[in-house]
Amino acid sequence: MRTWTDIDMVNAILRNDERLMERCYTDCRHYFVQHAGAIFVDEACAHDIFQDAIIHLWREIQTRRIEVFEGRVCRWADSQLIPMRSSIMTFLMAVAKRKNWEQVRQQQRWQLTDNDRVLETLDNHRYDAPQEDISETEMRERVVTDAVLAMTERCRQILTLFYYEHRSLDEILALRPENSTKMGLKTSKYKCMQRLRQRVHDRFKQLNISL
Amino acid sequence: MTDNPNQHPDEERIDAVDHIIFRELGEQARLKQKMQEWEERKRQQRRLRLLPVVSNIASVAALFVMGLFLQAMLPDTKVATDILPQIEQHEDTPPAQTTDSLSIAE
Repeated sequence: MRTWTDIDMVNAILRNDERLMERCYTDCRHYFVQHAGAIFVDEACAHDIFQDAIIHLWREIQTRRIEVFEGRVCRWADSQLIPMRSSIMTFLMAVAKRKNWEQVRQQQRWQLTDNDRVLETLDNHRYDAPQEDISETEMRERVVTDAVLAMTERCRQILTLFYYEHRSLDEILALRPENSTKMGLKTSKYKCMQRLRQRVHDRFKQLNISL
Repeated sequence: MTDNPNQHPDEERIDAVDHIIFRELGEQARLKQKMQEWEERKRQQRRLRLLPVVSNIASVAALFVMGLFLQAMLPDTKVATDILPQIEQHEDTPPAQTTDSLSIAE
């Protein structure tokens, strides 16, 4: 049975209260499994989408795009903090649905191309207008978060394995049989990083954020 | 920013952005790892919750099998049908008077 409120969840993520975060996560997962069956056909894909939705929510809260104000969970929209009309669960489901839709769209685009080009979703609607009381550093981090979240799972995996886990290309090749050659993997990694950088730079320019 | 004076300003800029990108990749990867741990813990809890149920079912099944085994081992079910009425009959007959009780009555 759910023993926490949306406010508890927001505070848990803000305070990095792992115990409560774990409880919220497992309850949300349970809810997702019960209700997502009709939306997502592939179970493994649904699992990834759910985790991405959680990361999205976690970032929204960490960067205070969602926060507790006057005893209510509010969200920044049009430079204003507006009480959220939906629950956190509903918000999560909406994010997951959107991510699912993005993936379907991506797959369709992948099917259209037969080379190993890195395609990413062009999802500009996720960016909110910068709020006046948000520092440039925060805004910069948000842009990067969104850009990383908007990457394909494939790109994110390659870059995470290479730059975060410091795995060699040979090791990544062994972990990802999808990449047939080392050279192909190297090209993919380079292109993924280039696209990510480009997206971040474009967005910085758009928002007048200095480097 | 890097302190390398020979570095092209563009490269320097890229380094600064890369730094944020790598940190973000790391944070997201860490959170994913945490989520995996939570999932694993949940699975273990479920297994532990199921364990007593499974062991109860196993013991009931074992008792049942033992009952079947014992039944098969008994020489004949006639034992129950033949002996039981005899016992009942024996219980109905009044106990025989002992010599002690006769002497007291005298």
